[in-house]
Amino acid sequence: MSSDWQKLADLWYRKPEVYPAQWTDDPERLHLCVAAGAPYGGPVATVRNEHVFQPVKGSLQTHLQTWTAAGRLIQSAPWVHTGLVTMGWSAQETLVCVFESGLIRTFSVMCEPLHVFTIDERIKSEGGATMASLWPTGVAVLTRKFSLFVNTSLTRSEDACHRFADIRVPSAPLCICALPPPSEESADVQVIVGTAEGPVLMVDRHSSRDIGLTDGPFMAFSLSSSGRLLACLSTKGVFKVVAVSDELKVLDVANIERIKKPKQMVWCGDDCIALYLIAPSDHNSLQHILFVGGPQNDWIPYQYDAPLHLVSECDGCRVMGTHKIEFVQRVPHSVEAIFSIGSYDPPALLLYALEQYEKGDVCAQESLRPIKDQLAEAVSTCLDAALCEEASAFKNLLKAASFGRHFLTESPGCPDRHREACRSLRICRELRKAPIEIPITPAQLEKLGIAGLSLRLAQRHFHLLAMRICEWVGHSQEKVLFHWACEKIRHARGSPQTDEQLCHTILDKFQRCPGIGFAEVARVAAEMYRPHLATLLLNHEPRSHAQVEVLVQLSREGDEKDRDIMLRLALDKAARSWDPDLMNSALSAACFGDPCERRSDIQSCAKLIKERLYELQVVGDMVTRQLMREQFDRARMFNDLLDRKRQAAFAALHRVFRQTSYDERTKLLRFSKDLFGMNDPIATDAEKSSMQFMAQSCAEEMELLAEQLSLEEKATAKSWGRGRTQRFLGLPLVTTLVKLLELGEVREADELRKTMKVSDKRYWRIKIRGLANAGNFEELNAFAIVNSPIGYEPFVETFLKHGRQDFALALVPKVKSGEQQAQYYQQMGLHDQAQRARQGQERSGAGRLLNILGVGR
Amino acid sequence: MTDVSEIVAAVRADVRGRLLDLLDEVAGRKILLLDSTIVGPLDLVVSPSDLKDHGVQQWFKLSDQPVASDCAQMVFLVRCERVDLIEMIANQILADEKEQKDRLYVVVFVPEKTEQCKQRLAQHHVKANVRIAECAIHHFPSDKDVLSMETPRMFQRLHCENDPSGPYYAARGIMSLQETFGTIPTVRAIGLAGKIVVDTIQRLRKENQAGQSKKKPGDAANRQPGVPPVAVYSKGAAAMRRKEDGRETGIAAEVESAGDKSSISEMVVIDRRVDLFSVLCSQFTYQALIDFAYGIQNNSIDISSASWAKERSESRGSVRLSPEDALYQEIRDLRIDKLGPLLQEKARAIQQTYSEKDNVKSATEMTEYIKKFKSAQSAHPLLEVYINLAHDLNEKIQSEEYRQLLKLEDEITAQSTSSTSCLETVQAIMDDQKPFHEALRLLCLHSLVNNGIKKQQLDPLKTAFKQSYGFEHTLTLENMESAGLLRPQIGKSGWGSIKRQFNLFVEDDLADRDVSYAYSGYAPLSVRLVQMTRSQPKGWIAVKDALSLLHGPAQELQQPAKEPDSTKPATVLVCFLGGVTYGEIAALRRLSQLEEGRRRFLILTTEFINPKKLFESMCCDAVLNLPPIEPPVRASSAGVASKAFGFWPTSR
Repeated sequence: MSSDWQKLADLWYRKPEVYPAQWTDDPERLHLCVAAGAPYGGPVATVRNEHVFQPVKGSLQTHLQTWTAAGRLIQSAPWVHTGLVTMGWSAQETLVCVFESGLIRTFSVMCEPLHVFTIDERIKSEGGATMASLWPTGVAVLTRKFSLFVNTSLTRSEDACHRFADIRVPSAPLCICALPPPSEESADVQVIVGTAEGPVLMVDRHSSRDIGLTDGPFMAFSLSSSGRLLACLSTKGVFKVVAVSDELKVLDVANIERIKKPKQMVWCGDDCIALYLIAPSDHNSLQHILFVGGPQNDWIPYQYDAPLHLVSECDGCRVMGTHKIEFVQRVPHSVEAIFSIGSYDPPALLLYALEQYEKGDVCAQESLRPIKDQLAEAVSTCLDAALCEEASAFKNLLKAASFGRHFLTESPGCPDRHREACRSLRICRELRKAPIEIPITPAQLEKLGIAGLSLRLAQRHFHLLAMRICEWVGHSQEKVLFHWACEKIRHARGSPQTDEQLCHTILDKFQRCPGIGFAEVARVAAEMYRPHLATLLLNHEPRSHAQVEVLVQLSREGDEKDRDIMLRLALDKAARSWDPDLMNSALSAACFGDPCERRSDIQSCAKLIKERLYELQVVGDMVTRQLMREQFDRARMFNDLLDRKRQAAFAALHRVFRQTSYDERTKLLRFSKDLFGMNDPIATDAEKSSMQFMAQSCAEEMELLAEQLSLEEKATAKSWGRGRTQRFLGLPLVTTLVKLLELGEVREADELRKTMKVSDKRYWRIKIRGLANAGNFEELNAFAIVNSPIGYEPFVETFLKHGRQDFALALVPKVKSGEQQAQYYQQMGLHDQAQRARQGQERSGAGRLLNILGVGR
Repeated sequence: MTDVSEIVAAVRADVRGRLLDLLDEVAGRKILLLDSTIVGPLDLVVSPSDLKDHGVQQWFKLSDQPVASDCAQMVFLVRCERVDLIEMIANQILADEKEQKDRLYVVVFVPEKTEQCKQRLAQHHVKANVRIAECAIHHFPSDKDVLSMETPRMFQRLHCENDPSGPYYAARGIMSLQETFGTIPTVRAIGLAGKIVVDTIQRLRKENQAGQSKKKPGDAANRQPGVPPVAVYSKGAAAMRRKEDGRETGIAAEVESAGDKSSISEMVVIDRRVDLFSVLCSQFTYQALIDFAYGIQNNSIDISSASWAKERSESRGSVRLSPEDALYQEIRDLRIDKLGPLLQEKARAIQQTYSEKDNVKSATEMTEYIKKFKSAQSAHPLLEVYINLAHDLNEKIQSEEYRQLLKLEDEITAQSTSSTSCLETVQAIMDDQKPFHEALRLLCLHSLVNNGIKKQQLDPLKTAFKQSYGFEHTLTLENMESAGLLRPQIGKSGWGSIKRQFNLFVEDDLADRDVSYAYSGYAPLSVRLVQMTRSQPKGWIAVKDALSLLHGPAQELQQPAKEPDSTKPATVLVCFLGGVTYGEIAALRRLSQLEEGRRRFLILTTEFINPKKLFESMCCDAVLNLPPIEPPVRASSAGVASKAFGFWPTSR
């Protein structure tokens, strides 16, 4: 077993064959095509390489093809795009293609297009992209004018796109490499740029700096799958490894003679580098050389006669050859301890003891005696090794571990580890078989997780297997089911199933998994032009937000009849939720934009609301409220359409106040008055009487304005108030009266009061106040002679307040209540009179509230 | 653990943590521009030095006027409900763009970012580097047992404009409380706002159950790069900081560990519209009267216009009535007539402390004395303010004018005098053009008590109001009618039965001990409603008939939750949607005492309200203070035409 290991520096490496390749039909495929392999034993995508001369074979049509890790065709689809810069796989195992125009297209593993978007329009204007560096959740692009754009998403651009700092170089850099952000979606990306001049730059959003890497210029970079190590290869063949997290410290330097740019340079785990070079050989054919090595300048060369494609994994590197698929890997310590030639390590002895035991040697346990103390460790090592070994070996190793455990009195955590190891191994063995052909190792599986694995399987349409695995390990099946439902709907186009049947099938499966997103499935149904199915599904969705969102989307896609149904449903669901934001979303959809925008269609919105006026009243009021900020006329129109005459009239009235010109204001007042005079069929009696009042008020206001205007003219003509301009327009009636009285224009006030029909009682109070304010006490006293409809208290109080006891005293006897008289006398200091007035009067009891003032006690 | 003040402290720590985390996420120096409804209460959670420590160079109220500064970052903190503010934000950014200032803008919406906000921001075509974030701040701790949402005008918006967003966000706030303090087992709600709250928390609970792990669709896709998702739970950095804060450590950790156990055992949600009486009736506690006379804003009052304050040498304009101050805590809920003797005694005690210095002989006595002296001295300036305030209030309520109003109020609530004479007095107030809320308070109280005012009386009153205060106040009247404050009389008044069923008026000698002490004989209806959930054997179900007399539906909801610890006093969350009065708070505190501490009340309100604020909210602000009307330009002004040719002799 250890005979085919090879030593590199002081570590053993091996390169076992995983599969014989099945794509041998075209030995030149990997040479003629751009290839991209997905990690975790994932598929390989190929598409014609535009830069390589293509011999014509049969059809001229180009195809995008995906292959399993064993080189079996998964799917193929016509390819019409040109200008491919880079191709790679995202974290969700979707194929990402970056084009010169700055466009990104993504495809599923089944070659179905998923997303198309432009990173930034500026890329095109800068001559297009020349280089791109992908990481699982984003991409960095270098334009022909040497500016860098980074997009931190592979599904959209907009806010994910960032223009990085200028790198200011005279000629095109040789290569770029993005250092992914610490967390997904974070914009904390850095890009390493190998300039043609030599220096290596580190660029982020704000700055670009030289990292001081000597021996440049560098032509290739490669980041290890853990993201910790960066390999750099210079044009002169100097090879350096730097630590990314540790301020780019150089860890290792090596020299290789080859100075041609390698076709691929990828990491084997975090251990060494695989370099794939193509060299012309003697007789006009190409030679394919794979170098594995790096540390301590030690390299193992392998020669191939057909092209390769390398896929970096977290624990090694897959070599996808034309004839066979191999896996280059450092021999794990556990394996080394057991299988290295002549090993006497405890685990090796444990395995030996098992062999003896199985041969029927009764003294098998004797051989365990020398390693008694290290037995637990040996068991653990055997388990580790089992996880790294092939079929024949891992069984023995598991047995050995189990055998060893018999001799352990206590083995904490051991059964669990054993069980988990078996579980991982079982999954990995299953996945390796045809037709799945995913040669994932237990180490990779641990890194990927069951969630990632089940998604990948679902995307390859192995839903049942994915479900079983989830079930077996106790993982949520939600994502798999969800993917299944979406695919079911997408591919149901030709099938005879009705919407109801399909919905039933989906519901049936979804029952086992509560909390699954019906809305998202409904959205797919909508995309597939099955609105009815979508609404059926939506009824099962508990989240109002999701419901409304999908309904709104549906309304955009259907014909007019469908649209109204969907919008009404959306409005209804939104109104029920009481959520203002939801209502607003539904409304914006119903109005084709923000209701406040002039081009929005409030008419069709009103039509929708009118059909269910009672239920949707809250939405109608929301529109009114928004329009009432500025667009009173539209608010009036909207309410008019809803037959809400009262609200319409109030909307019209609001316009009055915004109008400063007298003529306009009267015009609008008349208009409002007419509106208030209309009959509102849905108003209550109270509202009707308030409308009457408003109509009358509008009329009065017009009259008042006319009066005030004429007063202003008189004031100017007769220069009231010593020639200062007197303004009356817009004042309240009472204020106008008081002002006239203050100006001494008592007759004008009397006139105005008559025109405006102010009652006697009210006018007397106003007049008293006005005259007193003007200090016109003679007039006030003369006024008091006339029989007062409001009694004499206000007079007395006013005189007293202004210190005119002389006038007050004469009026006190006219006050009816003796108690009150007494108080006035008291205030004037006339105690005798007070005493007299109080005689015969009973004190009234103080009420509840006056108690607090101590009146009653 | 269930202590109310600890819950409030935990809320404060949470809000504080969120706010400071938010500031830390924007590294470096920054300017903070705040929503006007956040600026004030911000004080209640962070101090200016906190802001400075977290890199805030300056902070302003967001306004039309762009702020000029050279900070590279600008943070806006606005409520998502106030969509109109987005225009101001856009103006600020556009102004910077014009001056070619390059900044990073972070627009933070409270409590969440909505599609509408994002749309509006997008409509303004601001090109610059704008990040949108959200910060789930729902409540501000106004007092040791009061959380306020500080969302003014909710009452008007719900009942006049039919805008349910106030109760909706209140429900969201309650959900966030439930997340931290456990699901509340029993929920009772009355009125339209109560219904909205119950509907919403029920729906949200179902949604949460359905998709425990699910977020809102599109949430992940809309997340802004560079800004990690805003923490949903009070863990992470905020919790770390809390540990540093020391004092709060125990509480926060304890409350968090409470997990799903319910710290709050009961909730009562009351729509303000159900009980408008308690807003309109006069209150006599110290705090309520201070609010009446000065208007308490974020625990501070402006005394710059008070005559006694002017005489004092120090010229500070405002006094902070801190709930932390022990003396204030002692006196704020006292009725004004009980206050005098207490304050006198305090003053005398201080006086005595000062005079004791002559008796000090030995050094040990001296240190003792210094201690005493120091505490007396620190209490002194505040005591002086309190005494001055009390004097001033006493003067105000002893005035003849105030007495008349009280007499009228008494007559109205007792229905002892004919409505004609009551309304005549109200009309006289209007004719004298006294502040409009004084007239409206009594008018609306009359309308509420008598189930409306006869049409032939109402219309003249409305006319008089319009003629005294201006035509634009017809809109105020309209709002009041929509809100049920004023209406034409329909049917018989239910006031008599309401009074009886809820025992709203209590005899003098009992009143001092009952919850009615704050209103001098009137027991606030809202507090009676809370009282009934315990005093009645089956809670509200037992008083169905009485509840049907009130406005809006009453609901009772049981939520699945772990039974709270019955050995400890129960915590009851009382939500006032549309505002709470200081009198009601005092009455609730008294109720807790009357129930011998078996229930403690945590008050949650949208704002603090008094009649003045209520009626100001009824006004349509947009139509007040508009420019004056221009008279028409008459064609007779012949001079204009000839003046058009400036060089021509004007005599022509």
